[in-house]
Amino acid sequence: MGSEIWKWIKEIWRRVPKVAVIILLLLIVTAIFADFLALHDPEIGDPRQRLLPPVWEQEGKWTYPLGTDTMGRDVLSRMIYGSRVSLLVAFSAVIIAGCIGTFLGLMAGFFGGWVDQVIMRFTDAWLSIPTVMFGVLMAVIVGPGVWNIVIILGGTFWSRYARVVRGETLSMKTRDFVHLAKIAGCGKPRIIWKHILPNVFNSVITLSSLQIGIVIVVEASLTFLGVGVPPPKPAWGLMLSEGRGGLLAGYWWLVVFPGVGIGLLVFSFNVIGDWLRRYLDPFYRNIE
Amino acid sequence: MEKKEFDYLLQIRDLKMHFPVKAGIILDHVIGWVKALDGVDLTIKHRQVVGLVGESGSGKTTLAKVLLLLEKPTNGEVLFKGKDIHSLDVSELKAYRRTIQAVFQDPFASLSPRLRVKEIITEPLEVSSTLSKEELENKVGEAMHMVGLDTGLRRVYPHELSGGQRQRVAIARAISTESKIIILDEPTSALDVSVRLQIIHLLMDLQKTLELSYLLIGHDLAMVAYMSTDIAVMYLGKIVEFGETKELLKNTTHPYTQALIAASLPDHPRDKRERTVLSGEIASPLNVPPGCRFHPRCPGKKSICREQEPSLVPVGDNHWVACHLDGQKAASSSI
Amino acid sequence: MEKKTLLQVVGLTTYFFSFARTRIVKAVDNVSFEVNAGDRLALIGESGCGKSTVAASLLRVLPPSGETVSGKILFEGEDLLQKSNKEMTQIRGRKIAMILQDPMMSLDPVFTIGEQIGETLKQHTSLRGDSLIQRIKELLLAVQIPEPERRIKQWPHEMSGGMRQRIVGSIAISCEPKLLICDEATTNLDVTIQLQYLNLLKDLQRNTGVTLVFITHNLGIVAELCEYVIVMYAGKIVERAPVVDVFDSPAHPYTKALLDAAFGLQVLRKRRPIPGEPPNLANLPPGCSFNPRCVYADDRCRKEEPPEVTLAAARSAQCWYPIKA
Repeated sequence: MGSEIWKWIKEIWRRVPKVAVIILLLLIVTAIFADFLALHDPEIGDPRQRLLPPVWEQEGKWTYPLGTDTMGRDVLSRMIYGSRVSLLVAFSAVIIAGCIGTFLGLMAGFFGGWVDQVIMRFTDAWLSIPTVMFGVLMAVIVGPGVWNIVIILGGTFWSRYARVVRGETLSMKTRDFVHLAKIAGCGKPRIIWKHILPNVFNSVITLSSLQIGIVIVVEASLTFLGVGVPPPKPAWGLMLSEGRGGLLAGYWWLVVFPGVGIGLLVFSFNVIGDWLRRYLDPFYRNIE
Repeated sequence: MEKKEFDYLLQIRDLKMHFPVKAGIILDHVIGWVKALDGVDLTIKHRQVVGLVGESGSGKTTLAKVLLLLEKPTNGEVLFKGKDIHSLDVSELKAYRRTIQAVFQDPFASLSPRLRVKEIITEPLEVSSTLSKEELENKVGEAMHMVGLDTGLRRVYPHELSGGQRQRVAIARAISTESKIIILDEPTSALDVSVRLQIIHLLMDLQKTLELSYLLIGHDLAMVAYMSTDIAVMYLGKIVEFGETKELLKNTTHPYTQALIAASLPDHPRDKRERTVLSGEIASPLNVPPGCRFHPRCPGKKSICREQEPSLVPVGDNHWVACHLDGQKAASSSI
Repeated sequence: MEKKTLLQVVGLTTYFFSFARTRIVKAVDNVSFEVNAGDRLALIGESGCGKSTVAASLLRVLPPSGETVSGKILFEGEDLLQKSNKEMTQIRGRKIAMILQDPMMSLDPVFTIGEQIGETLKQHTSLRGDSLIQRIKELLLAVQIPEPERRIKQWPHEMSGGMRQRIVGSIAISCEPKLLICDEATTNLDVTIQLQYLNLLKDLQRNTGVTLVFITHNLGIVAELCEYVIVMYAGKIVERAPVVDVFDSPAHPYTKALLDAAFGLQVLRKRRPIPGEPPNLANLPPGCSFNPRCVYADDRCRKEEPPEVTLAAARSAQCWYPIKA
């Protein structure tokens, strides 16, 4: 049994885009084990050590490998804890959006008729709202906070899921195995749960991995604008916003590291999402 | 357990399925009808294999859908134990669902991709009866054994199986509820040639062992004749000829049946013969010709054929034909 | 009358590569055959036997994962595998034409019939304007489509399956090709329409002298239409013979098994299914590829691949124990 799993892992490893997966795994591990990896408290700094450059520059210190910010907080530790915040917010938001969108898409696709019309018009309307503006508006109304931002993001991004899932549901509905399920006497809930949902799940996963990149950037933007994750929490968008002023003065490490962090995270999700989209496509499955 | 209170399993009476064709952008109005089924009478008895042949537009697939409760007819009735299947109450409906199952043409589309073989096989049972997990497992083993599948495959997913194996799973599912009628819609057309006969023999064996009835839908007259006790020939929504297989092939009466036989390809290059090829296109169920619906393509038509639609009349022992031509046979086409 | 060799395929080998060339599917393995002008050749076998890949290799239209690794394809004396892509576009549609199984896939739904037939003519001839339209009408009549003036303006979806396949046929013969390959051309057609189409092909051959290669798995079509048969299994040719010989006394056990399992109304006999499953081309058994399903197989068959044995003039089989007549 163990060797089965090992063989399976090796198979998957052979096919995945390795660079992206490694980056992502590193980031996830960092997020999980932040408590053990960070050297300092990310929220409380030592004002006497403020604005130290990274270790390889003159005046850099080994105790603060990536330098410190204006309040003397260790950039590396903030980066490490920040990965946790970014990933947490991104994953949670995508899960919420996915659940709402998938449910609505299934209902619309499966039942058709006026249910479909109502849901789809609503979805279309929602899709046309500019995300960042909407996020800002909702954040101002609801107030800042990590979970608030998660809910706002979830409530904004569900519409694409609804669209995709509805399309897939429509195409599944006409397949023989769904007809055969009806012939066997399955009720509608069972057909949706056992026959349609598992088969649209692939698309949901693919869409999620592509969406996460966008969610991360939007979260960072909202945080940058001051309406996302509130200080002193170490969110990368916040680090960008706080470090912005120091850029011209030459304190580049305040901005470059969080920027690169966001970039790498989005990059790896996009590459994996793209790969998933091609890999899970049943057409390719038949060739292989 | 129903005894033979009824001497039929299903009785189909004057079944019509007319699909409206609508036009218009805001207010649709009906501009025509697709007469997929236009008055079908058919009886399926115990242990009978009724072969249904016809080309595109004949209505054979629509008939299957109506029997399987996937479509509601616009007219007529299908009687199961004396009651129309579209007005059964909940428990009668469950009994009907247990009695009638189906196997479709494409083994790649018939099995739910994310369910394992054993889940696919037990689904009809899970839905219509209350058996324990153990009993279900036993049923799976039995069914797989009956269709010649290695029971070790029970936890496998459909994409890991070959076409022939998938079709066997579909058959196992169809027999799992101790059904009495199975609708087979081109069960071997999508299979590799070398595997076809395996599945056909399996179906024939199961029919004898389990005392099943089949409604076998096919376009290959030879294959249908091989498997069926009786054959019904459909054209544009109606049955034009019906009879016991040997009798129908020996005394083919309706010109369309004769054309189908003439169009069947030879067994041997020496059997090639000059035969009358049916002219024209297959008519569309959107535009059913008046009178006898076959008359535009019929080589021997009379004036009455354009005006009056013939009804099924007996022309021999268990042999019915709907034709005005009184059984004239074209010389080259009967066997 | 001496028959001219139109096509000579020598040692054609085409593989499909996947997983960074670690998985090789030997779709066509060392296939050699000849086609004379005016022949009606059947290439028969089940799906996966390589027959369609032979046609694709001939026209050099393999998908990206396919590659002809060795062999020669001599058409009118010239090796097609040595030709450049530009030279091949002069041959496809003009010297060698192909009709595929599904007319809906072959016809573009957004162009009228006239435009589609005209496209090939414009590519290979200098006909334009009125003479082009005249030629299109001639072609439609040649494939027995009445009222050609009306049809030219119609769209594919306005026509029935049989008509569409005839349109595809007219495109195929438009530039008077020497060789016409039909890949399961009648599989999607209704039975009565199929017979019309096969008769049409016979007429076309009579009128234009085109050479027909018909790829199919249906023995009835072979009996109806073809003079010479090549049987393929798992990428190799296992038997070749004139059509009457194939039906009277098949030499290879696979051919015999196909005949035993086939259907026909005329002869009601006990039919025997072929045991086992079709072969996995990525993982063929050692020895003769057919051995797991062959009732006559012995140890030799399981270990060594049989050579091709000449049994008579124009007859051969690749088997250790060809069935004697």
